[in-house]
Amino acid sequence: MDSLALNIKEMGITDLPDPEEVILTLKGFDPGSDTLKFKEGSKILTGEEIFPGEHSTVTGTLKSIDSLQVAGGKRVALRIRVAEDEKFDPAIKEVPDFLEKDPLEILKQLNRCNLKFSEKLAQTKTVVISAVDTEPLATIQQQILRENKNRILEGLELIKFLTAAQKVVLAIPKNLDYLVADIIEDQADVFLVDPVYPNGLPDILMRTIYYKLGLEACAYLKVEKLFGAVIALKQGRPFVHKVVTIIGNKESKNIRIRIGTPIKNLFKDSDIHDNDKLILGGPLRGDACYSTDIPVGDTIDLVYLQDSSEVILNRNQACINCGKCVRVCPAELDVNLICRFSEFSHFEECLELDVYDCIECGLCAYHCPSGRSLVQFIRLAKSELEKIEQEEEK
Amino acid sequence: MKLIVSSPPHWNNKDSITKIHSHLIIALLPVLIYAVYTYGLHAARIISLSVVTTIASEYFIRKLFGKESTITNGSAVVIGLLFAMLLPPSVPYWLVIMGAFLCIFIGKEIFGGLGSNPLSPVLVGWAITRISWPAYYNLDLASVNYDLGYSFRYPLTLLKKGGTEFISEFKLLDFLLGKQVGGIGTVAVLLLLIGGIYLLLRGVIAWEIPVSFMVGILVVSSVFWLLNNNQYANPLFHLFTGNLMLGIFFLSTDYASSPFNRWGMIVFGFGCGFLTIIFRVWSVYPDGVFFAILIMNLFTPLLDKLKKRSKPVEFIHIESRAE
Ligand code: SF4
Ligand code: SF4
Repeated sequence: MDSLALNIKEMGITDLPDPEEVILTLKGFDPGSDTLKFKEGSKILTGEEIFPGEHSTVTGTLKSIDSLQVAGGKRVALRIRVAEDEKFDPAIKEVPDFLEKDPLEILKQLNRCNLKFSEKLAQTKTVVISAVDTEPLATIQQQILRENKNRILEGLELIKFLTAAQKVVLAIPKNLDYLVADIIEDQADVFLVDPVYPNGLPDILMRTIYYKLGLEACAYLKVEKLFGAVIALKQGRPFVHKVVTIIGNKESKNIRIRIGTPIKNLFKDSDIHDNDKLILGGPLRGDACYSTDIPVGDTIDLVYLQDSSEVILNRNQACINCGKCVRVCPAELDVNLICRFSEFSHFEECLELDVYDCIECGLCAYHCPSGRSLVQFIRLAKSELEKIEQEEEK
Repeated sequence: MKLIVSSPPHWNNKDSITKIHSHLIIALLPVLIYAVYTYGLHAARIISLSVVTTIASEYFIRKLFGKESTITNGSAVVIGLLFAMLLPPSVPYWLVIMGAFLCIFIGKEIFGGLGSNPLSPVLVGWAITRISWPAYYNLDLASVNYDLGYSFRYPLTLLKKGGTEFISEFKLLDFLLGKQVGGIGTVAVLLLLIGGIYLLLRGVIAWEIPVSFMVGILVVSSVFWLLNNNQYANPLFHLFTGNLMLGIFFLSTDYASSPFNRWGMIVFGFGCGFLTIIFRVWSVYPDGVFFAILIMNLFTPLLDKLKKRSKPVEFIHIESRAE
């Protein structure tokens, strides 16, 4: 199962029934200074704003407010008991004739629909829409493209309307070019991508396109969010569902879930055993979870339950300087040197070797014969450097 | 429920240091068999003595330094085999032990072990013994007790003494098939070539150093040959004689002592080829491969700086929560 090829098999999407409880973690919410307008017991509508930039993905009652340790750090987490009948925030309206409106208005409307599109959008000249999945095993973006073929043109129109884009590039896996066979040149440029990791990662994809086509002021968007935006405007529906690939011990499937569904709802209890690894995200960049009570957020394309027999344990032997990590690094870093410096706390040297350019793709550690935790060393260097920087500022 | 947590990636390609060294041993095996077939018990004696010494020295040195044992990673075995292969069949046993010990001690462990050695460990042991006891390395004398059915004179010495006229008796095909005198494991050129290709296919070594090394040999020797083909041998003669093939695939590609960046590797390989021919033409040593590699080893840290990075491209995420 460990091939770096991206999966291009068609896999239909089924709906997962809503869970009893949804967990929403608030990024950027500081319990010290920020206050919440909701209390335990408050009723919340789907799409209602909880905190600037964060919207509820369900209708229900706020059960508790506590904190939760997730991959990004400690967050305030709201647990919402899901109600039977769904009601949408009245501020969300359908705007089928969006092309006649003011783009800024439309951006605000999208924001209300839980699609936080960047304000810098207006300055971009080229937009890359990607239907290439970012990690092996995931089949989300391509499947969404398959199922929304008839919405492509609307999507392209919308994106051109929101930006100053003269050019829209549609990046898709090589073998799926037939899906966009009727796209003509002045609608979008089709860019075919070899379906191998890491070609679908935004940083790699954008760099490839930049060096091939020489485009300026580029922006990146996944097809899922693009179609989400089209549906939000045409039907007045907020973006509260996310499609994820579930890789379990026994089966793999694509399902549509409510954003914030805890992982435990995705698997049967009997599927998860001691010493398994539960990974939010893919096998190369995903974060291992310590508990099944962690929600699946809107950036997750893949939930991967790795059986204990497949779990690799870090050996972290001394570096033998074979240079394999250097030769596979897409950021062209001297990974072996950076990690040796980081291992022995020489973080300034890591900075000189451009450690910040690492995109944490994990290829170096994938190939390292010494089984070194290279990504961990790099993260250590980055976080220590940030601490040093913060101290200097003080 | 107890879940395992660790930093990504959660896959790896299941490579290991032991696997790398196993591939190296497999690649050397045909050459070793040929050595034993040609030189009989003499070769077997040298090989086993050398390997036992390297393993024992690594074990005890690491014990003495209070470090964990690394015997099982196979590096000591490979060093022992390679060192044995450089020796003429007639060397005394104490020289084998001495050299093999020096390979491990001065070549590797003193610097902290595998991966930290600035020079090829095998060549460190070789160079010290070669310079201290040159008589035992004299290939013309070393082989007089054998009758192998081919000339037992060392082609590179002859070339040095009398130009191409002296080497007209040799056939390139014989060189390829290992019919020349030399170290017990350096002469089977074809088998070494096959071993090297095996390593390339297995991804144990990268193509840059061997290819640029050969290019270096061919280009520089062609220049001399074109200038005066009475005095200087043709490029293929150079490629197939002496210790070159072993140097190209097995010694210059030692991980720690060679560069890891592509352009560094290419310059390194070419430099090895260039210096080899220069030594063969102008130095007192008939063959200069190993000294060439040792000298290029010294340039490795410098060569690793030969690198042009393309800067990452800046772009914005339209969905600002993404990634
Ligand atoms: S791949 Fe591992 S052993 Fe090889 S140079 Fe990189 S860190 Fe060192
Ligand atoms: S994770 Fe490793 S291979 Fe990937 S960019 Fe960072 S250093 Fe390079």
